[in-house]
Amino acid sequence: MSVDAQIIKRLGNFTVDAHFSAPEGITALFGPSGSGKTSTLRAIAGLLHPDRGRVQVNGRLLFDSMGRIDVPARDRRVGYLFQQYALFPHLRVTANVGYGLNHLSAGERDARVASLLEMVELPDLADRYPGDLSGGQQQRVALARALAPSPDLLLLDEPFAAVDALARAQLRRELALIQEQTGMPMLLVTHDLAEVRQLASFLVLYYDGHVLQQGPTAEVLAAPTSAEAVALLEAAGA
Amino acid sequence: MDFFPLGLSLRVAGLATLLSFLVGVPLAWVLARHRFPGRDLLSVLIVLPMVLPPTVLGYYLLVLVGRQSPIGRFVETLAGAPMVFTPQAAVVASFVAAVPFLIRAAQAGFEQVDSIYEEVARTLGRSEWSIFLTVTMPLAWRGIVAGLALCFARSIGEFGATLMVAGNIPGRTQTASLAIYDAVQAGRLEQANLLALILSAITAAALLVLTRLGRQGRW
Repeated sequence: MSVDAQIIKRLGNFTVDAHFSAPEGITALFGPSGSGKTSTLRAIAGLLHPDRGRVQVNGRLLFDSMGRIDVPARDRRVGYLFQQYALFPHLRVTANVGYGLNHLSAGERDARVASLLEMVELPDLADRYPGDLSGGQQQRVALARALAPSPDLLLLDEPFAAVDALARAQLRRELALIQEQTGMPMLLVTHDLAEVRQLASFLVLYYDGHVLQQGPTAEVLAAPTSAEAVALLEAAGA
Repeated sequence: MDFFPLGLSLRVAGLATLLSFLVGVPLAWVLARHRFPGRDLLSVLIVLPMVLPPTVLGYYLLVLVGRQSPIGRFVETLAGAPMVFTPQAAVVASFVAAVPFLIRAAQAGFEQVDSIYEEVARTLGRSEWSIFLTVTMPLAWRGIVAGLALCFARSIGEFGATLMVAGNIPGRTQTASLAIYDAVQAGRLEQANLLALILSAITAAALLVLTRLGRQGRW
């Protein structure tokens, strides 16, 4: 398994108690908003500290409440792509993409940034500031920035929700291609069943802080095992 | 015409502003980003020098660093001379009077920085200190610069607390604002006029430069 996550966290009067194991490739976390998907991603990235649980990525233990292991976010090698891009507004595109590459020499960093911008098809925008870019362009820069340090796992939190439909379709194709080329496991939080079908080989259904069902996408879609899962998929137009 | 007071004022205000930057920026960040017991009390203590009469402030400082106090005696053994009625005491007085202005403005600047930028920087493997220098500080820059401007202006204008702890010794601790007072008292209105004008011009120029600096950046 690429990702093994058990997250138990009280957030006010809401409790996340989710457990899933995701294989390689792209895994979708699907469910209504407020069902604990983002909290799960934040806990895997080390931005949220679960009350109890365990997080393991490619066999590497990142969090274990029993063994009192809590690797700081900066040492987890887990990339995070936010819905609202979160590009550093005061840094040019090159400095944004190279931000996680400060351990490299200037020459190596420039070369890596250039090849990443090539990959997301934005080599001409290297000297621009994020404020000068369209939403789709900003999200591609954010993707290049997250991929730059070659993380062990990439987390994507509704990465295409804020861009227009045309850019979204293109971004999805590019993401699938990048996943194929790099083999990097990805966890994708989404509301969009079409996105699940197009991108995800594995599906985890979330509802009210819990995991309802998990399995290969086609199997889960074909055979939901609970009334809630049926209702969830029907509401999304399955 | 003796220009010593002007030079002293600039040096005192410059040092007090530098000291405020070093102490005030980290404090402002802590107040903006952390919740801890005693936080409200700390905020009140920081605002206090802004609203207390400068003479009261000066009196407290005199008690704190005077020759009878532990701090005063410590400095005296270290430096070989008492601290009160020295230019260094004038810097301390200006610092205490002016640092609240920097802290308040910088705190507001830090509070406006969305913590999502710091989070994404963490996932990119950067240390907290490096994130502070490369993300948090630059994004809070306007607030910090506005605070530096107010801090410098307040230091240049310091009078009461300085008089209490540094005295008014011509050629040694007499800053421009004290010299203006003396000149008016002695009926040397021409000198008072000139000093007042130069002081106003310097302060306005400093505020202007810092306002420009604060406007730089494209976000």
